[in-house]
Amino acid sequence: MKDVKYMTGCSAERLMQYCREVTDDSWYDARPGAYVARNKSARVFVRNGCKVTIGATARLYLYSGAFFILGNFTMMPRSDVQLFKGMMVLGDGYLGFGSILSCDEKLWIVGADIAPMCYVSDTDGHRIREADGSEAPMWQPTILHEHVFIGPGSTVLKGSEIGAGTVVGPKSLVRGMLPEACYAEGVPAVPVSNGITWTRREMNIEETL
Amino acid sequence: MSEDRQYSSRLERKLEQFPDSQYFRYLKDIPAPDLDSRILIEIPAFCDPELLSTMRSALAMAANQDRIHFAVCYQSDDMAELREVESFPHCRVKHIPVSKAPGLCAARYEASLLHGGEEYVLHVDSHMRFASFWDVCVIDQYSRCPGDKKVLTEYAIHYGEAMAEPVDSEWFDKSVQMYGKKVGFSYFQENTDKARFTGKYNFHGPTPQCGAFIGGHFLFGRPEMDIDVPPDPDTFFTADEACVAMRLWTHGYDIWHPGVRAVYHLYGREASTKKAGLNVKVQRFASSSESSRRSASETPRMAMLFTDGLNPALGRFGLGTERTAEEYYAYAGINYRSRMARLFSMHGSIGIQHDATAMAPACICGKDITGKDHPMRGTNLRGVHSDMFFVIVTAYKAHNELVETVRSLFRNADNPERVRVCVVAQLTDEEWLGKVRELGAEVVPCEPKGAGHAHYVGEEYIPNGAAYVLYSEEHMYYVYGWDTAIAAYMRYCGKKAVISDWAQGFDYDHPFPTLPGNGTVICARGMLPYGHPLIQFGRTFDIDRPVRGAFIIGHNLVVPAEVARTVRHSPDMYLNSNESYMNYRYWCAGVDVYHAPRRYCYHYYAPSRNGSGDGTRGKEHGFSAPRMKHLLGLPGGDPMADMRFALGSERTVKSFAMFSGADPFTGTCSMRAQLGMFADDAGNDVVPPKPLDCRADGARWRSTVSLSSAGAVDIDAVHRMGRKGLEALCGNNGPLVGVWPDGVINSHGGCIIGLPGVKLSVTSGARIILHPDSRLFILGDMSFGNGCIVEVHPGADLVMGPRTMNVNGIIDCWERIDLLDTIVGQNVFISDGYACSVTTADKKPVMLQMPVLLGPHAWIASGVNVLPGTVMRDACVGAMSAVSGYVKPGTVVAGNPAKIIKEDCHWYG
Repeated sequence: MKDVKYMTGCSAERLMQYCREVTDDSWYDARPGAYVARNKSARVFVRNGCKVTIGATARLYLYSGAFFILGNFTMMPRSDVQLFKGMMVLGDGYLGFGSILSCDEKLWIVGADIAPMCYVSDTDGHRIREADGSEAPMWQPTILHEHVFIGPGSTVLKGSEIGAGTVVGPKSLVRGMLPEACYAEGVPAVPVSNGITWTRREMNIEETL
Repeated sequence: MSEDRQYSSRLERKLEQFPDSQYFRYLKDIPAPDLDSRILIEIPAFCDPELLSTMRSALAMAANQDRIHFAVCYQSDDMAELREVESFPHCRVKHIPVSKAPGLCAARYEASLLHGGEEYVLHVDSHMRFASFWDVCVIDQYSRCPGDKKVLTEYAIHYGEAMAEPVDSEWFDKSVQMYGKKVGFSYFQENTDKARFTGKYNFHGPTPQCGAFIGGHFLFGRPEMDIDVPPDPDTFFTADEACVAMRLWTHGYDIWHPGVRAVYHLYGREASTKKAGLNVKVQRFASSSESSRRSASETPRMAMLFTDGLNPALGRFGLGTERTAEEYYAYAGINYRSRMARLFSMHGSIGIQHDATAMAPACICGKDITGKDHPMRGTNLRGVHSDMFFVIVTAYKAHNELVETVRSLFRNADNPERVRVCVVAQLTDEEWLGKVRELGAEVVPCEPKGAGHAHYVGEEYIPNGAAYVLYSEEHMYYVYGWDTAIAAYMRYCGKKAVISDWAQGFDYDHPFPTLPGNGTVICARGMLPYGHPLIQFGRTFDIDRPVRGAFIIGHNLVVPAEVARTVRHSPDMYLNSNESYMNYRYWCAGVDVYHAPRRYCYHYYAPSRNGSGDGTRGKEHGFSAPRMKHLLGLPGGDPMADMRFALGSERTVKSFAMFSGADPFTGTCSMRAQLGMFADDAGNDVVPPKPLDCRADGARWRSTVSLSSAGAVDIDAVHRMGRKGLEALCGNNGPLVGVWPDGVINSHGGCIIGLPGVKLSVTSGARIILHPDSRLFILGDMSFGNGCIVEVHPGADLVMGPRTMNVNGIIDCWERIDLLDTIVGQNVFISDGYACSVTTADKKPVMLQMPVLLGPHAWIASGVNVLPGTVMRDACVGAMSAVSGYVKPGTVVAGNPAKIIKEDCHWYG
């Protein structure tokens, strides 16, 4: 996935060169009870040998936009991935029980393990107009770099960017930038210690799905 | 009154001298300063040149010198100094020569023994200084702490720079600090198990604040403190602070730090002495054989305290039963067992009141003390179960053991007020019987006619309302929580059952080796010779769940009261014949025999102290056996037998012989009887039952078993029993599992173990995922709401009691999660570990996995994250909170991170 790191600033066109567009169902592996909905206007691009595994009762909706699969991504039971429009990138990692990814503009999960009950999004879902008539943007790109861990129950708001190797503590709220390799937590999340490393614990995900 | 006036005029003078001093103004504002209560200053001294100055300082600076008493454990050979020490007013000295100096902890213990009725005690070191009127200040600080059980402690101010000054120097009055300092965890010593602490984190005075650790050189409290938590003389030095803090807290004492600091201590004695230019040699440790013995015993004793604090081997120096070790670990944020500490323990903040970064479960770690995990033991179960025990203790020979037996029955019961002890005295030694009466036992006179007769007499006194009768002897020792354990087993076994056990042996001259181990099945080694229908008993294999057996043993028999009233012991029977005959009698009355999975008492087996050696054996054969033969219908019986104690009609002796393999008609014992393997009426083997194992490798396991009656749950027993006990409790038939359409139990070699008859229903959309070797214990009717996901990782235990999991709850169990009688709202996430392991920049692993113990009686509102290390009972968590650590009983906590928002609040329903 090293090359992906250099691509996080790049465009959809550039990414398409790395991927192959697929129209059949070969890009995912849905377990019994999984639910996949895909509109015709949603385009799926897959890197060679990569796929999304969708656990029982997990749901994947693709309404429109571009869906890039750059790694092996697993959706645990009862998790949701929603692509309304824009471009969404999924790298290596998994999405825990009851967690939701929601994309309206640009949501890049380059490589993240997301614990249960999380919400990661790049959109507010509605426009907010101030008293003086100004409007804040409804969407802003959200990027989770390689090897990020999002603690259970956390929320990642639009316009966030989480550096590679960072761990976000439980029930935290992430907004804005978090540096690389730190442990951050709280509402809003702030780095508590720097220079940490983390590894995924041994798990048999296959049994869980 | 004169003292009062003297004090106020002295205080006035001080105020004139130091007009800006907040300290003296604070003293002046104390409405009614306590000038009368006596304070005993306990000082362990080892060749310390500072000792005399310390004593002079305490005396000179006190508001009322008359009330200052000293207890000094003087370990030095300087006789001149000793005489000087002894010349202090109200001074009691215990002198130990240097060659026999036992070390700090033992010296503290010796000093504490010198208590002579003073209202307060103060443990200090031998190198201390005090500010003016320190006694008034300390007592005032103490009285500002709420509650009755409390201690005041801190890391005192360093007085190195004033070492050479006179003890009543101005320096000591000027340096008083009007703020407190919490005691925080500092570090674990390299290569040992020992934790060090230090004063940290100031807080505003003068109100004292609660903490979790103590400073050994300043510990102030009521003398009850020394009685409940005496310093452990078998430890040496470092055990002092870590152990005493934990013992105090588990005994129900709250630890407080003073908000005004008027006491001084000399840190780094060697360096300070050098710096002050004093030419004195400082000796820190004794090197006598006494001290090295204690130094050696310290580590294992600490390990035992941290892993198995209720072990009777620790005697008075173990943990208390008011609160558990697990609760202390969660409260203090430190775990001596795994040698890990959470960040907030270093801040000196505690439990749930920690600051925002406290959720970061950061920490320091080292090796595990024991290298293996230990079952969780002991909660405060006082007053929880309500079964009354009537204990019949047969006493044949007067000795101290009888008193010890009765004492252990009362002291180690969870519910001593529900224990009645009846000593059937076949002796008339008032000295011993008086002691037994003092302990609260009833003494019933009885002629020495053997065990059957004694039991028969005791049964006359079974009170109304007794639930169980426990037949005991005069040389037993009952361990902590014996009553709760028995009550749990009896509920498991049913109303027509007795429990009997071959108690673990012990010796009065040695400490107990370990906690009693697993129970065993009692077998028959053979029948007594001469064709008598008497069985010789033995023990066979260990069991870890209640198992049905065939034979009882006389020294430890538990019988439901109604059975004890109807199936009575026969006064015709002597020792062994009593046991054998009751075997037949219980069988024929339709009462089954069970063996307990864990033994709860010790028995002294050495024959010299047993009271049966004087001729009763002869009488037994000549007298009891023929009568028993008659009752059994064997030839050669004695028709004088009392027919009121004939066998019942539910089952026959023949079927007993078939079942047990011990046949009184042929006088033989089958191999099965000798192995402890019994067959039931239909000839099927009665073997130890196995937990239900819904192993279904790879395949999804579904079942739709119909539901029937609910089982009884003994939540109380659960905490106490640990992993093995749980299995034992749950064993047998397993739960009735109902799975709704789309509900899934996905087991990959995990198992569900439940109390017999308990219902588990998995509604549609709920999933239970059990990884290899994981276990889900169901102790009460449970249902998992729609969308619940429960994942139990390999080797983990999830224990759930009655009540339901509401919709969309998620449980992620890595090690151990308990949900006992806990209400869980919607969208709740509970985990005791994370799917990642983190190491800090300096390559230290971060502690992320800690057991979660909820309940009994906890309420988790909607949307809550229950994080690793949460320990709570009788408390509530508000909606959308994130909770972690120890939650004080009776509180409502809420927020992210959760903080106490209400105290003394209890919920019902």
